[in-house]
Parts: sequence; C-alpha cells; structure tokens
Amino acid sequence: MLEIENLHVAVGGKAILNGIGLRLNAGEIHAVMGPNGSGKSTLSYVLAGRDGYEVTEGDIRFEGESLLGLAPDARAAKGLFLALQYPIEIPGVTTMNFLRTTTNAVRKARGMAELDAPSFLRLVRERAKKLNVPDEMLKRALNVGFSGGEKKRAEILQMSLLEPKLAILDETDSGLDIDALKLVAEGVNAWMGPERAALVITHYQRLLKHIVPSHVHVLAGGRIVRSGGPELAEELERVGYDGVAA
Amino acid sequence: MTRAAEATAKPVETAEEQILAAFSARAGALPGARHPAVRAAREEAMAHFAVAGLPHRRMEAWKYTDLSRRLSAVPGLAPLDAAPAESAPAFDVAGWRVARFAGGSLASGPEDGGGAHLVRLSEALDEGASRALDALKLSEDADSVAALVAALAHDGILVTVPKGAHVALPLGLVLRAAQRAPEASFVRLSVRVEEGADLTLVEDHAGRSGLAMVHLDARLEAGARLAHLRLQDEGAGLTHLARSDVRLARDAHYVHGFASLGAGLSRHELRITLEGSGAQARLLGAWLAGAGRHADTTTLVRHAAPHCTSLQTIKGVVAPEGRGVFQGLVSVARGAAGTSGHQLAKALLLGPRAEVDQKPELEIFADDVKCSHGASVGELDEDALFYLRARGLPEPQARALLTGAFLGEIFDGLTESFGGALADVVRVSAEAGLAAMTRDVAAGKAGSGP
Repeated sequence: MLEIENLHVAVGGKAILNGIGLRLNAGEIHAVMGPNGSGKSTLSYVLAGRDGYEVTEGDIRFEGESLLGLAPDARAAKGLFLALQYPIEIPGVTTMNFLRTTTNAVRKARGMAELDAPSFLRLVRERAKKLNVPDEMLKRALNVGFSGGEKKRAEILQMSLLEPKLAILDETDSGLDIDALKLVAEGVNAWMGPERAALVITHYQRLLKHIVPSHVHVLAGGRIVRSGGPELAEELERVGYDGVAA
Repeated sequence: MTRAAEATAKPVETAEEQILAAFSARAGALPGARHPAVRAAREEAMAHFAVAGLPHRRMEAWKYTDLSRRLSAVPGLAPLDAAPAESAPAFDVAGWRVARFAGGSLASGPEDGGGAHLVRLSEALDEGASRALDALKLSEDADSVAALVAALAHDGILVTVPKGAHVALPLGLVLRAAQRAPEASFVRLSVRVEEGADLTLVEDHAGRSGLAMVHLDARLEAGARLAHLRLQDEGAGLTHLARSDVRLARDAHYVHGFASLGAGLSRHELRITLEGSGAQARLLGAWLAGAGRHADTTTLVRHAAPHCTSLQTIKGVVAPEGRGVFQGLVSVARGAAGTSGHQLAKALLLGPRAEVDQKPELEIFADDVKCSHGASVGELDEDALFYLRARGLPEPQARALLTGAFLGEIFDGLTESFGGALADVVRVSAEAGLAAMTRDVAAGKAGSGP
C-alpha cells in the first residue's frame, strides 16, 4: 500500500531524513520508533504533504502512485490520514461543523454522495459513542479547551469518519493516561482491517501493547537503523535506543 | 487627460469650493429655510466646514483616511424629492417599524413608532421646532462630517422613547441610494431614550455609488437602554462617511454591534461619552476591507463619571489591495474612579498586499481604574491551514472556514446582544462578503467588487 523509497527530506535546507526505505502492505501495522530528533515527526509531515518539507531524493508511493507534488487534501482524498501529536485548536468552528465539512469534502473528492444533516448526525453519534465522545464535546469549538485525552479521541473520531486506507499516528500516546490510551487504541483496532494499514510513530513502547504492530522499525539520525517484529519493541524497552542502534 | 484637453477645461474647483457653491444654490430651498434660526444654524455649520475643509491626513483623527483624492469631484446634491430606493431592506423583521430613506429623503416612515415617538426632520424644521433646530447645532467637538450634515441635511428622523417605555420590536432605519445618477446625500438622525426606557435601533445602509453622509446622535437618560445595530454594505463607487455621538447618563446601558462590509471608502466614527456613574457601553463588530477598498472604524470612548464600564471587541479582515483602519481611544477623565475600560482589536490579512493601520490608545487621568487595550495583526495560522487540508479540505475552502472562524466570536456576541433573527442577517451578509473576498484571493485576483 505504501512504499517509501530512499527518502531524503530537508527542512529549511537542513537534511533531516537521509534515505528511508519502508514497505507497508494492507493488513499490516508498522511501528516507527525513535528518540527525540530522529526525524519521526518529519516523516509524518512529509507523508501528509506539508509545505516546507522538501523531498530532495527518493519517492513515496501510495497504491503504486507517487504522492510527491500532491497537496495534503488530495492525499486525504486518496485515503491517507495523519493523526497529529498536537491537534490544532480551531476557535470559532464547532467540532460538529468541522467533522461534517471535512467528511463531505473527502466524500465529494472520492466521488461519493455528500451526507445530509440527519444522516451525518446519526453517523457521528454512533461513532462518537464508541469513543466516549459526548454530544457536549461536539458542540464545542474543535480542540479548544479539550484535555489531552479529548483531543486524541477527537482525532480518532475524525479518522473513523474519514475512513482512510492508511492511518499515520504521530505520537498519539503522548499526553494520555492509561484509560484514554486504551480507548484510543480500541478505536484504532476497530477501524483496522485487512484492506487497511497503519503507521504508528512513537517514542515509547507502551502504545504498542494496545496496538500490536506486525513490524517495528528503529529510526535514528534520519535513517532506519533496524527493523524487526514486535519483539524489537520489547528489546528497545530493555536496552534503550543506544543499545539497539549500536 | 491630454495636455490640450487640460488647457481648454475650465479651472478646476476644489472639493470645498464645489460644496460651498452647492450649498449657496441649495440653502433657500432646504427645509426650515423660512426660519431665520434654522438658516443661521445651517450657515454656521457651513462656515465651520469652510474653515476646517474636508478632513485630510494631517488631522490626527483622519491620519489614515484621506478624502482629497476620493472626493476631487463631489457628486451633485441629491434632489429634495423622494425617489425609489435602489434595494430592499436587508432585514425582514415581522411587524417592525421601519423608516426608509432614498437619496437622503424619507421615502416612507412608520405610521407609529410602536411606543417610540417619531418625527420627520424636514417637517419639524419647516415648523421651526426646537428639537429639530438643536439637531443642526454643532457640538464643540463637531468635525466636517457633522458640519456638512447639519448644513445640508434635508431629511432625517427624530426619535423619542418616553420615560419607562419598552419598545418591543426594533426600529429600523433603512438608508439607500436612490435609483438615479450618483449623488450626495446627507441624513441627520437623533435619538432620545428617556429615563428607564429601552429601544433596539437597526441601521441598514446600502448603495452603489455617490456620497452618503450620516450623523446620528443618541442620548440615553438614567437607566435607559439602547441596543444599536449597524449594517453597512455598499458598492465600490460609494463614499460613506458617518459619525455617531452617544451620551449615557447614570446607569444607562448601550450596546453597539456593527458589520462594516465596505464601500469604496467608508468611515464610521463612534464617540461614546459615559457621563453618569454606572453607565455601561459594549461595542462589538466586524469590518471588511476588500480589494481596492478602504474601511475606517474609529471609536472614542470617554469615561467622564466614576464606576462606568466599556468593553470593545473589534475584528477586521483585509483582502490583498485592501486597506483597513482601526483607531480606538479610551480616555478616562480625572475623577472617573472605578472605571473599567477594555478594548481588543484584531485584524487578519488575507495576503501580502493587504494593509492595515491599527491605533489603540489609552488616556488615563484617574486613579483606581482597570483599563486595557490590545491590538494584533496576523495572517491565517499555517498550522491550522495544514490541519484542515490534511483533513481533506481544499485550500480555498480551508481559508474560508478559518476566516469565518476568526469572526465567529463577533457573530456569537451579536446573537447574544441582538437575538438570532437580527444577528443572522448580519452574519449571512458578512459571510457573503467574506466568501467573495476569499474567492478573489484564491483566484489570485485583485480587482474590486461591484
């Protein structure tokens, strides 16, 4: 589904990623683990197509097509979703309005019929309930005054409505207590299926107890220095990044 | 113009000369002209203008708004008779009382004021009524806008809400250009809300071209309430110059909501004086400056008595090639202890060639006051824009959503102060203006609107 080939990325002229290769098939969950400054967030942003992240070499292919040069909204329409480490607060736009606007924009771009208000309301209520997102939260401005847990639940709610094929979760565990972490992981696991794939970017192993990866990669200095199965995450927990990269 | 054509053209008159000549030709025909006191008041106002001239950038209050180029040719005075108006009212409130002006004349007025007492200015002047005469007398701080309106107004309305009266439905003042050639119109509005009475007043301004000048004064007696909503949405060919003077006695309460959606050049100067202790003023509104347009919002809030509060929240959006101005002065007189005066002004620039000047000022001569002011100018947040696009919104749609959200706080406040029916009209008009602006930005266009 996703092929990253010899990817070099510079931000502001400074090389951050130095030749990443990764292949992710439908039905797989890959974890990318790495210490601060290893290039984890850069990887998530460049996949989503953020301005200012310059691909100097290599390619990113999604279902066989290069994503390079595609705007973030075009990538979202193709089925990519990035859950942000720090979801942005949007004062003046209610969560409900945001969800409906984005869901219908993506449906339209995929050639599907837009949902009318009652159908959308039914859908959002059903999905929100599973993530323990109360109606009251949907009426508030998006992410404004949300706790860390509420923000991440709102991200997963967006994911469940946008129905991507590939989810990139950037440090989704940061700022979550154990109950919130479980709830978010359940949301991801419920969404996951044989036609879908996830790239879980994280510093710590704890999220991977709840979202179990099929593959684990260790990122250091803008390169993948080791790859393995879920046992690699446990090894990291024991010996640390220095031990694994050595 | 070619050199040959210039040589044969008659000597160019200044704008001031054009206006003075128009006044001389018109003075004898203006309402109330047979009363010496009315004529004297008009001539005095014109003399004030003759000395002061048109406002220009060397005057502090007009530092950012220069009329000299815009008004090098002054449109002819609107005829004295009423004419069909260009467009219908923006608001449609069931059962409300509405006075409609076209080309500066009252075209139709309500039979009764629903509890408010209404008098047509032209009739009151013809009768030589003292209230009408007072409306032509200049206050000490009158500027050229007030002076020209006093000298040239041929119509207007005098509103009185008697002591203790509660006027249930809003009173609408709909001011339109006439369906004629571009012309200059001058309207004088005067409102008294007597002790304990309350009124909601809605001004609705629209027109395509010409010069529209409006002067409103409102006096709120002890414990009176006035909710004053002002929608101004005009074409690129129009110059809109307005001034409002509001004075509040003890425990009076004034709310001013506005949406200044633009004209070619528009300026509204709002002066509020809190004269009695415990008086409260709330101002909130939005202004837009589209491509090729100039929008100036100037507020002066004077705390002249102790324990008064004022709170201002003003937001503006400027398109590339547009120019916005906000000047806000909060002044606290000696002895006005316990004052709470706050002002917040924010402007959003939609592109690199958008221009804004914001000048918030505090002048405090009293102790024991709580005052603040803040002004910021920014562009759309890149993080937020990326976030929305990563969720599938195409860039123009993401920009429009964020720009609307920037003004969301204002619309919410208007709903709270004026109710959903009135606030929604303002919101819909403002959103249509914003949509046109963001569409132009997305298309990379920098033309002007209709």
